[in-house]
Amino acid sequence: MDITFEHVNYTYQPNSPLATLGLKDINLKFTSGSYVAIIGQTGSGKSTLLQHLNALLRPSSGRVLIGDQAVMTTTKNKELHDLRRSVGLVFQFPESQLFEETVLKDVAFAPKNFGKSEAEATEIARDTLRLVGIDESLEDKMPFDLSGGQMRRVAIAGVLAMQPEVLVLDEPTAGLDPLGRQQIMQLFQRIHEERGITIILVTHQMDDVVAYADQAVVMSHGEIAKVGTPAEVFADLDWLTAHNLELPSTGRLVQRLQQKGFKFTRMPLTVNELLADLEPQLKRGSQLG
Amino acid sequence: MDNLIFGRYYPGNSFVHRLDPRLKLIINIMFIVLIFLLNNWYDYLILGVVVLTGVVLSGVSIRFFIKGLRPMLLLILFTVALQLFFTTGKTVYWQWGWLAISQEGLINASYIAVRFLLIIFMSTLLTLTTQPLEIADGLEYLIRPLKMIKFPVNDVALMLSIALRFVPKLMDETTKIMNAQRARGVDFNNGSILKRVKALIPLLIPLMMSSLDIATDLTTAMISRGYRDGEGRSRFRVLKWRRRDSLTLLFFVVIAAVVII
Amino acid sequence: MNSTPIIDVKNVTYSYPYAEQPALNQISLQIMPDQWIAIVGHNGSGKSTLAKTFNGLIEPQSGEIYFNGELLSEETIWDVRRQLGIVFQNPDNQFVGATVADDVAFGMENNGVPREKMLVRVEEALKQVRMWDYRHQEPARLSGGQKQRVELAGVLAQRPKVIILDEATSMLDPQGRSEIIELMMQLREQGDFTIISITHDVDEAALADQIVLIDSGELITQGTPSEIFTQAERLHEHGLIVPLSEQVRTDLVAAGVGLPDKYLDETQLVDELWTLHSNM
Repeated sequence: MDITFEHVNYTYQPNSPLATLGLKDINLKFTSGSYVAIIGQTGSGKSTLLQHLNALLRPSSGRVLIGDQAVMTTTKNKELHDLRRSVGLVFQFPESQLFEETVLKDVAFAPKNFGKSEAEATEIARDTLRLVGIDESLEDKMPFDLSGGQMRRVAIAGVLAMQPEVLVLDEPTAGLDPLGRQQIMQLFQRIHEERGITIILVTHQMDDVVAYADQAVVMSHGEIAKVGTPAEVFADLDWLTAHNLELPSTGRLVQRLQQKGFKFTRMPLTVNELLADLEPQLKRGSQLG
Repeated sequence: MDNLIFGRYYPGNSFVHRLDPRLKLIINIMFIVLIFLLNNWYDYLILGVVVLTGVVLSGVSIRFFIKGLRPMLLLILFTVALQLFFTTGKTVYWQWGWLAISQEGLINASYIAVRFLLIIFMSTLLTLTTQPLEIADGLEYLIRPLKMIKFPVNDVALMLSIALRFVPKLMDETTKIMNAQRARGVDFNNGSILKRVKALIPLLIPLMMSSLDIATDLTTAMISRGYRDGEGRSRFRVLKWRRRDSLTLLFFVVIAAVVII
Repeated sequence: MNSTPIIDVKNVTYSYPYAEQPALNQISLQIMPDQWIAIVGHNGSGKSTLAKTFNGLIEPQSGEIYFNGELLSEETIWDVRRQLGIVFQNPDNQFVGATVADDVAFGMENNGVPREKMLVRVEEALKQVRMWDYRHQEPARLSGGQKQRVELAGVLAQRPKVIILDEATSMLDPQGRSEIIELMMQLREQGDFTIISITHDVDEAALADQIVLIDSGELITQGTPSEIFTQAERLHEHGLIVPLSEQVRTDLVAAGVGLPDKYLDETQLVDELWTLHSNM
């Protein structure tokens, strides 16, 4: 399912002295089956864009095509129910949405809302919990009794259980430690590969953009500043710095090496690329006294 | 959404903005008492002029005052209608069953309407020109005498200021959780009453949990920073009563005296 | 070096109510004054619990804690809380004051500092963290990084001996995080504080003089960044990673590049690499 933005503008609190522009003339296509990262400073419009992806916000003008459903200012809430099932949204710190008495019930909540029977929903919930690595023994616990990392997984399962075609992730690893972060990102990668789900990832973690996304969208002041592959987007370090964007973790090291006089024909985005570019410029170890 | 509790503050630096919140609170209380003591058009006209002067001096557009009326509109209409139709009087203009409009009814209804209007404008003037925090500070001063009956004025004041401080945060939290549950297929706006009430559970429970988290974190932080209880603390915020406050109070007392006599 | 540890933890054990495993298990640790210590470990390793014992927020079931040679007890606790300031993880949930200046003053109010003194110290502290221009702002209008800077000012205004940053950067965006880290580096230069940063961010830990690795409520190992970061396997085992510079160094060494067999931070690595540059 493709999602297409056509001349989308969004204004917060229109017709009031506090009106602020959220999005400005956004034209963008998220192709079915792709893995797209949205990056930009806090306040650049990423979250506003994200909420248009399943019509939590409706454009002030222009339209968003989600599959074959067009969402405009005038679109009625009733028309959006099906669409909400096909686009799953995982918010930042999603564990704050847990509310049921048991882990299993919480994950079954969304499928039931979308018309599955109790038995079907429970079945789906079980499968989804296994998928995110939550053991059967935890199913009947109160969600609030789990560890932080487990709660995060259960919350993610609660969205995956809708069996969405598009999964939108708002900084899904915020607050996790390095290992937890890696595990969650690999989980999404697996779902993306095995089920062909489209993934749209909003993040500050540039290493994740490099490692997982095939497209990156840079937002700035409510507009799209750049679209391209991670390699294209991260090619120009000066441009990134000018837009107050972080570099992949290799970036700072590369900048320092460049200042010293090392030459790079492309921007090395991973440690392996960095090593490959660096080694030819170094004397072999044996030559050192 | 953030005009709950004390209404929305309109930033500014006008004469009214700069008045001491204690003064503004006292005047508001006096004003309400006055309104209910009086019942002739001449006095209402004077009070109306006083309120309008305040509105003009505040530099806030009249639109915001009219907005302030909106949430009260139903209540006003209801009360006015009640007076209008159910006041029994001699001169009856219109009658339908036991509903009647009489001269006395008309007069009573318009008194009520004017009273509402004046009180709402005056209190809106207070909330538009005074930050919620200043109002809290002012209240704290005014309830200070209660210390004599062992009322924990300091603790209550701190509670009030913390509650105010966390209103926007809880609003954000509410929006966030609502969005998350809407994304999981909850419909907060449609369906039968029962369905809508049921839809509140996935909102209220997370909200309660997150309030508990906030409370725990906040307590930890406060203890770490040496908070024991209200006693033995020094104060950073102080209110300053100035000449203009005394003069304004004097002016208002004179007006009150004039209208009463 | 001064020989009295500023914080001395002796055989401390603590279990949360209803927990199966103790959060702290017979842990002992000495922190020397005027150092920057990083306490690292994955989420749930017990590192934040440990920090909460330092000022009596958590009372251990067994063991003792000494602050600057004095046993932590009912009598000493409030004095210790004045000398040991903590910036916590969540920027929203620890901001007590209604405005920036009020929040900075909160701790001093609790300790009955006279108002004239507060005014001076609030200004001083807010200027130190570059938030003086925001003194009248309400927290709702500040970014996470700005709120944490205000919290830090609140700690500084109390003239503490120890500043603890309990995952103070983990909820911030990259910009907020680097602001806080920059401030911490400045503080190290300026004052005679002991800084304790509790973190799972290796880049933050790399700035410390000493790193303490914790897991399952036990002290795993302790040492300088170079001693800790050369144990990549061990860090992985406990859910952490090594800094990029160390990863690059070990990979280059494995590829036969003659780099020294010790941890290098980024500056050192770049310098070493330059000496090996083939066009020199």
